[in-house]
Order: sequence, then C-alpha cells, then structure tokens
Amino acid sequence: MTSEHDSATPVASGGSHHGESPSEAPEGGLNQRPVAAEQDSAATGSAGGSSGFSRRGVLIAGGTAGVGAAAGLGVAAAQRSGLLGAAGSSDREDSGTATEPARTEAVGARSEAFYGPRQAGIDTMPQSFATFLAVDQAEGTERETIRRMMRVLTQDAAALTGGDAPINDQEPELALNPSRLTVTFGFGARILNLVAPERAPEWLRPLPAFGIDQLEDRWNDGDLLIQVCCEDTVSLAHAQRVLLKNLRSFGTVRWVQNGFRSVPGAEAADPPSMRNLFGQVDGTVDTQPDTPEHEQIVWGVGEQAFQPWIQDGTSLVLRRIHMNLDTWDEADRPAREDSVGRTLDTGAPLTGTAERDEPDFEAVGPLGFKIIPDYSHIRRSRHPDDRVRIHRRPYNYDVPVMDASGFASAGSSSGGVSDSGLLFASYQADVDQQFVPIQQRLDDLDMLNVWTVPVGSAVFAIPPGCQKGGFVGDVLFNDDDAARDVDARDGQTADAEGGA
Amino acid sequence: MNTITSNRSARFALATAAVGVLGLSGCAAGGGDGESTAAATETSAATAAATDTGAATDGAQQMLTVQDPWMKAADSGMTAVFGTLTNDGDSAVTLSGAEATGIAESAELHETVMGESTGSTVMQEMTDPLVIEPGESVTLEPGADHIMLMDLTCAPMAGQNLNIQLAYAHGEDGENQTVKVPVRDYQGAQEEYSHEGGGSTMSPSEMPSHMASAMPSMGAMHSDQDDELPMCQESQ
Repeated sequence: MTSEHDSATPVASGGSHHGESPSEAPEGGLNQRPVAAEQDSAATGSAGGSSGFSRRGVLIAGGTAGVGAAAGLGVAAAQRSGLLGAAGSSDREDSGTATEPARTEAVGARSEAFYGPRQAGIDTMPQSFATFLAVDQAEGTERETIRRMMRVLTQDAAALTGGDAPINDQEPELALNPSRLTVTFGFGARILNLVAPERAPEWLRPLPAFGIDQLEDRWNDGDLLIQVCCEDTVSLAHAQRVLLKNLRSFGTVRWVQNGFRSVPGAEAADPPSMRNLFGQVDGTVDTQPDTPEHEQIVWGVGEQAFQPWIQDGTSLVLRRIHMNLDTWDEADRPAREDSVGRTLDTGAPLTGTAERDEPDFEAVGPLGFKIIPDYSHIRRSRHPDDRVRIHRRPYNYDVPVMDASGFASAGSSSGGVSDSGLLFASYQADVDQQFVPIQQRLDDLDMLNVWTVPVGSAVFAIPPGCQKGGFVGDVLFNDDDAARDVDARDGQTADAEGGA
Repeated sequence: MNTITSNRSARFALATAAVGVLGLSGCAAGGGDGESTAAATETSAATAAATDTGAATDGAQQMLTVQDPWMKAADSGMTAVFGTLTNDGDSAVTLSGAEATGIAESAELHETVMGESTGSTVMQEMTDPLVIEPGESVTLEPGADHIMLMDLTCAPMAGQNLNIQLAYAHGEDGENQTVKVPVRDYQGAQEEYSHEGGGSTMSPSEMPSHMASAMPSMGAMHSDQDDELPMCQESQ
C-alpha cells in the first residue's frame, strides 16, 4: 500500500488541478455557494435585497423571513432541514409574500408515519441522530414470546413516532416532540428460526471474514435489532428508555451504537451529502428513495432485482468502522483526495466539478496516470455489475476516550486521543449478492483501508411494516396464527357477534 | 337475554371508545393496543348499530368506554388494571366492581388515600360504588384509583391481551362488560395496601394468607416465594 501511495503523488498533484491549495480550500468551499445564495434570495422574494453573491445575503434573507428558529440560516437550508413548514416550501410560487413572517414548524413537531407496508427509517430522509441497539433474546424464548415482545415494541414505537406517550410511559412529557422519530426493527437468525424458519434467508448469518476486519465481539451480531433515529437527542433518549424498559423481560442488550450527523439548520444551503469525520463527503452515489433503482436495490422490486427475502422487507448490514484520525492526520490533502477519488470540498469526482458528476474512470493526467487511481475508494467500491449496489444511511460516531494521549498507530483500532468512526448502515435486498461482493472488492484493494478498520459487524433481516392493530413481523406468523391475532384484535366486537 | 344485551352494549362501548381515541389524536392508536384501532376502522357502521342497540336495551344499561387500558405484568400475588373510563351516555353509570375470570380469584375497585396515621398514601377498596355521571371520565392510574386483581391464578405477562369484566349495578342481576387489556411490565404502582376503611397499613400477620406473599407492596409481586404460576391464556 505504501508504494502505491508513493506512486500516487504525481497523480495527487493532478488531483489539485481544481485550483485549490489545501489552505484555500475552506474558503473556497464557502465561496462556491453564490448560486445557492441566489436561490435563497429568490426563495424568499429577495427580501434581503441581495443580488445574489454572498453568505451575508443568505443571512439577511433568512433573517428577514422572520423565521424564528431559522434566523441566521439560509432559508433553503431551513426548508431542507425541516425548520420551515409548507409555507416555506411554497415561497417560490408566491415570492411577493416575503415580508410576511413565514409559518414555522418546530423540528420537534415533525413526525414520520409508523404504519405502512414498509418500516420507516430506511427510505426516510436521515435524521440527525441514530441509536442502533441489538438484543439477545432470553433463554427459553419461544415463538409466542416473540409475538408478545413485538406487540409491545410495536405499540410503543407507534405511539412514540406519533408524538404520543405509550400507555404506561412514566415520563409522558418527553414523548410529545417526536422530532421525526423512527423506530425500525430487524431480526437475526434466531428470531426468524423461531418464528418462520422457512422464511429465513441464507444470507442471515455473519458476513464472511474479511482480511481487513478486526472485529470485536462486543459489536457483533444480535437476535433483535432496534434502530432509533431522531432529530432530537432528548426524544431519542426517551424512546430508547421506553423500549429498553419493555424489553427487559424478553432479553438483554447486546450492544448499543450511537451515531450522529449535522442537525437541521446547521449546514449551509445546499450542502453536499453528509460528511464523515475524515471530512469526506459520504454517500454521493446512494440511491434516492422513490426511484426505480432504489426500489430495485433496497426492496428487490423490478425485473433486474435480486429476490428479497419477503415482500417489502430488506436487510441491514451494520458495520462499525473505526477511523484512525491520527494516521489520517499524516495524510495531506492531495493524498486524502487521491485515496477516495473525490475532492474534499465539494465531494466532486477528481474528474469533475460537482458532487454528482459522473466520474470519468478512464481519464488520465499529464503523466499518463489515471486521475481517479486504481486503488481509490470510488473506483473499488463500484462493482462492474450495476445490480450490485447498496443503499447507505451512515452515521458518525465519536465516543469519549478517557486518559487519552499520544497517537494511534497505523492499522490500530485503538489508542490516540479519539475513538471515532462510522456506523456504516447498508440496506439491500440480498446481502450475499449485493453487500458481500462490494465488500470483497474493498477488502482486496481500497486505499482507505490504510486508515479504516472494521471493528463490528451485524446482519439483520428487516421485516415488512404493519398496519394499525398489527405488529412488526406479524406476517411471519402463519395463517392460523394470523387469523387468531385478527380475532384478538377485533376483541369485543367479535365476542359480541358470537354472543348474538 | 342478559348475555346478549351485555355483549351488544360492550360493542357499543367499544365503538364509542374508538371515536374518542380518534378525536383525541390521530396517532393515539399506539396507546391502546390493537382492539380500539381495529374497531375504529368500522366506526361508522358500529356506531349506527350501537344507536339501535342502545334503544333495544331501554336505555337502562349505559356502559362505559374504556380508553388505553393496561394491566401490570405479575408473576404471582396480585396486580392492577388501569385506564380511562368515560360515560358517553345520557345517564349516570354505577360501576360496582370487576372480575377477572381465569386470571384472579377476585377483583376490586380500589382507591388510594392518605393514610391518617402514617401520612403516606395507602390503597383500599372503594367504600362506595363508583358513579360516573354523563360526560364524565374517571382515570384509573398508578398512585390513584385502579382495579385490583387479587390472588392471581395465572401470571399475566407483557404483551398479552387479557379480558377482564367490569360489573355494573344495573338491574337485579347487574351487567358485565368485557374489556380486553394489554399487559405491560411496570415498576411503579407499589402503593401500600390499607385495611378497608382503616387508614392504616396492615401488618403481614393481619393479612389474608393469599395476600401475604405480595405484601408489603405490589412490587413484591415478583417474589419467588410463591409457586410459579403458569402464564395466563389469552382468550380466543
């Protein structure tokens, strides 16, 4: 890897042909947003009077719009992040109303739908904070135990998602700001083998061992996954507490992994995809919900799709990837961009100017080297088979390190002053057909492996969503059982008819 | 006849409860387990039918709607049922008691009062039947009024839906209303138990033997002194 790195130096210089020396880059990144600023002004009826040039214009526009919570932020950013409600979204149509205060909607008041054919939290626009937690089912867990557990968890999750306190919530006031909370459940092999063994997909097992892995068992596997995502950490903590309280009689917590992104309103207008703690724009080529390719990749819909394990179900591979910030510090900006194949400021491919420009993998620089190197992450992660793709919903992690000092050494997943990385959450219809081949390519060669170490790995089958009155996973109980549950659901009505 | 009337009334009550839930919040379904929501999907038809049913019973037996009922899970001893009882009818409803057939030997309406001698809150059987006027609600909740299930014969476990019966003091034989109650784990509801009307806490020696194991608080319901009870059976 070192020799490759060395040989990359000329190319890396070529990578800076975008005219930004490292020291200029931050300002360059900001100055590249005048277009966005103009859009902001237009969106608010040019209330700021700015003829589109600067961040200052954005600030004025945002402030004049009278958006309390969003004051001082670009309005477009506020819209994007949900600080503005429908009125904000429609400003383009009635640009003359900019002097009227925009109707605001608190982030806390926003909620996502819980019930539906598919579980929320996958196609949902990523919230700022996530907690992934895995549960080991108690000894003696039976099929009916899973039914009871999922009834409780589903009802809690549905209430919390809607901003209502679950029935026995002892801190009901903490449930009132759903803040786009989503709760997503996944099953490990043990649960599926208890409930519907014939349904258990072959890929529902630990991933094959990869050469780059330094897995720690404390981050691996699990019987039940609960993914909780929210724009607010207080609401998230409460949701987690409610779920864990009610899980206590069913199992024990195996691991908890917390992650974060930028909060609504924190970013400038039209920011690139999320940034990881290496400073890289992350997730550019992800599929966008409600597109045919997304349906194919995540939900297995379409002629080209890999077969999903169940209709409206998918899979989650959660990899905990330690990022060695200390050795990353040793890499200068050209080398950093070279390793990925994208610029750090906009996330554009080294052959392009905007984040979503299609990379030109054939382009060569003056010395004949490929501009996007053979070992670059974007080249290696792109499988030649277009069906072999994944949908990412990653979160950063940065956990406290006590008695921190010194430096983490190369290839190490500990030491130094930081314990940082990425919760790489990947959704795909078929783990073996989609995730594994890509991971295999990255295991074989990826310059980023110099600084990253997978330390945790877990695979879950994500069951479909449920309708009101049902519970997540109810479709996995066989028809007789399902009929019984419907009877129980109808409850007294059914009794009354029987009595009459 | 009595049975049929009771069941029809129960159906009326359920349908009305569903309306109440929807009126409160579009997402309240999560709080009340499946049955209220399932009923809500047929609210119109059920409400129409309920009007007829109400007339058929001469308007004498107005039942209560029950919103967000739940029962505290227990291994043995006793436990409690909570929820909000609302009288949506035109006449007062008198709740005289409760039963938990197949779950507990007996059930009582309890209230929580300040113990005169101790200054701490204690719970005791209600001295009078619970009268709920038209349009009024009574909230049964931990630390306040509740339905006490005594001498459990099986263990209600989290995630189950179990039936209990509310008893009304109407007519010579009274009326029953079945309520489906989700069971939840809960660490609260550990009020001390008072001798009826006495205002002082019973000592273990004063207690009926079937209660002693669960004393001094409901929290002791997880005591392993009892023989382990089988999990309750859900009604089909």
